[in-house]
Amino acid sequence: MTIDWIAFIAEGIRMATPLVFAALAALICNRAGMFNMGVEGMILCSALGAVIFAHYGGSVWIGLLGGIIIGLATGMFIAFASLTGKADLYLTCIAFNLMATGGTVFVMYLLTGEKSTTSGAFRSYQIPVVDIPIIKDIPVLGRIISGQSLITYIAAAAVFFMWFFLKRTRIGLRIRAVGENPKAAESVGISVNKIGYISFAICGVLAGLSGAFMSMSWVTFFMKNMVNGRGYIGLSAQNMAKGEPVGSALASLLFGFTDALATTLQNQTNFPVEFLEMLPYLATIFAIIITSIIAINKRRRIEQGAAK
Amino acid sequence: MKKFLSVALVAAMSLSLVACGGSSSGETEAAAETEAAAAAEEGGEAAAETEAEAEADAEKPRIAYVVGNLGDKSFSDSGEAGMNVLREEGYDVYTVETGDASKADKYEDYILDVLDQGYDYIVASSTYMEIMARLAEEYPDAKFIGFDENWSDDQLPDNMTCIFYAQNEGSYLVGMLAAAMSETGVVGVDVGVENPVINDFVTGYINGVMDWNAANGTDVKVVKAACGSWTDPATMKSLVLDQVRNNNADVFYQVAGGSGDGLFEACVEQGKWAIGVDSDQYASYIDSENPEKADVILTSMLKEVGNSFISLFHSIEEGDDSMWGHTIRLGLAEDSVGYVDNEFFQTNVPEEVRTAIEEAKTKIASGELEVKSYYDFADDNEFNEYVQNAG
Repeated sequence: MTIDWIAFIAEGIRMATPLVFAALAALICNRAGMFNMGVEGMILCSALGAVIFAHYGGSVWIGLLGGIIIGLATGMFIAFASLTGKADLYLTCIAFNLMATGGTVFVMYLLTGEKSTTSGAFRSYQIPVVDIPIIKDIPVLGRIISGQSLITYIAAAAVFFMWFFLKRTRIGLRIRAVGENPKAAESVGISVNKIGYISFAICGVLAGLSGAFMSMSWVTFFMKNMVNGRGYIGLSAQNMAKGEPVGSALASLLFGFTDALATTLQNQTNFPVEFLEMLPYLATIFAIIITSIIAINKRRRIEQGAAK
Repeated sequence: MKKFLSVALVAAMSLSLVACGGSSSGETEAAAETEAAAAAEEGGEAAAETEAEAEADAEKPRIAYVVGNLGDKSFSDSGEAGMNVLREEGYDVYTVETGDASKADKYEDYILDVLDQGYDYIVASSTYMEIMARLAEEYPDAKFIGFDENWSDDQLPDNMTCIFYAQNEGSYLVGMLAAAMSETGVVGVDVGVENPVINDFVTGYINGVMDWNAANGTDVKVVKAACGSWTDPATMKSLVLDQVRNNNADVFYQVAGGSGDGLFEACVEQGKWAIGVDSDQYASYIDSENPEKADVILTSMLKEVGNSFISLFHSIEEGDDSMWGHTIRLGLAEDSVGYVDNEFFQTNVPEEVRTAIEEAKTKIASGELEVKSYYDFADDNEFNEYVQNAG
């Protein structure tokens, strides 16, 4: 048994990419006080949008833009229903996810006559892989950091921007204010609805990037249900990190690596498949337990400190 | 505004149901029929007309074909192709799409619906076997045909039959091919979800590789993996890339439905050989927008679901009723499984290999050579051991 561990790490990062976007997408809404379960459906719609735009536009960049536009549009749709229409956010998101499952197949059927995949009917486009000059020649690091999809680098940048946006910008501060206490924020003249729309717009763009990665980088076609719960995993990743961008990205990486580990172990060992499929979710539960223990301890220390 | 939204939401919900459900034309037809029947009860000329129609229909039985979703380019579509041939012959065939497993609670309703509409034959895959067996007792006049399942005769009611395809025989042949074409000495078999039928594919494939080894003194290993879903090409692609990287495998057999597209893509990226399944997947890609995917598909293991329907209904029409209460086993001898022998296959596979496969095919068809089947194993452990010993 010879496992190429360097390639394994690179693969883990690749597998984590859509999760990082999903986590950030859920995070921005969460920070604005909205638990957006619709991320899963938004990613699915964007994945289809990306291949449609790429096929008809004849370019991978139009596809990428299309994925982002569809992500944005679906984000606006949920925002409109819940903010302007005052519909219950959870119900809207559940309805939206169900609609996305059927709606994507419906649209695909209208355009291609296929009900399962666009792999035959639409030309495949792949977002280019980037070889970073100098870094790619560094022995181990080069193989991990260089040679990833362009979107993976965007994901890394997005984590930093999200952190900067929330901590260092005026609008980021307002989003956090609305999330923590909407009534107080409103009393100082912040429009809660406007902030909500802005959060959903950012969420949509991120979900769009996640979808585009699924259908134009990881594989190069759309297939029904191809997101397979990755949106939900992103959602729990940001939950675990309590809405911190860097922590969410790390949690997403953890899931990406357990996924990659399940893949490698399946091929290299005789572990039962069912056990390996369980791994990412088992990791979720453990991670949530550990993070909540840390949080409880922290609170206890503060309480003890106050008692003194 | 709220009203508008609630309407929009309802529309959204109903969209999610669009993916499943019967083909719209079929539904309208059915509705029209029910209306006609209602009118008939009220008497008048309409009644005479409906009766006349019913008599015309009586010559050919009415068949309801219950599938998850069409468009899989393999299993369900092959069945539908067979049903189309029957339609041309004058059978009244109604295809019902029930949707994926998340709609499983509706399966029974769909079948009850077509039964109430008076369809004489219900044709449905292994997924619906339990439901059909239950309904077969409630509806003794209807006939139920399950396919792709292996039930013993005592499990089957008298008005039910079960078509079983010897996928192990077809897989045996592509297993030989994989072993012969491998340069690295490792071949892969990647499945969607493990179940008895899928394990039967794997068993036959491994058997083919092992027999090729025995006959040619090679030591080709088999690595097997499951991606856990029929619609997760992303995970499948990663599995295959891992098998290329860490196991050094170079020929891959996909038994994974939609996820298999991820396998083809990995093979294109890595320049490895792929073997398709159920229908001729080379043909489905060569004229598509992405013909390069066809260039890695050496051949496809065929499972002629459609043909089996045609021959079954022909023998029913001829008055044969020996199938009821029994499982029909269709293999190489009945031409119900096999492999694609196209120009691409002939160009890329050396002649001696092709001859060897052809010889094995004849031997299996004549019964001279028996292929190991998953159903021969006492339990899953024995099967797992078999797979492990091949790796």
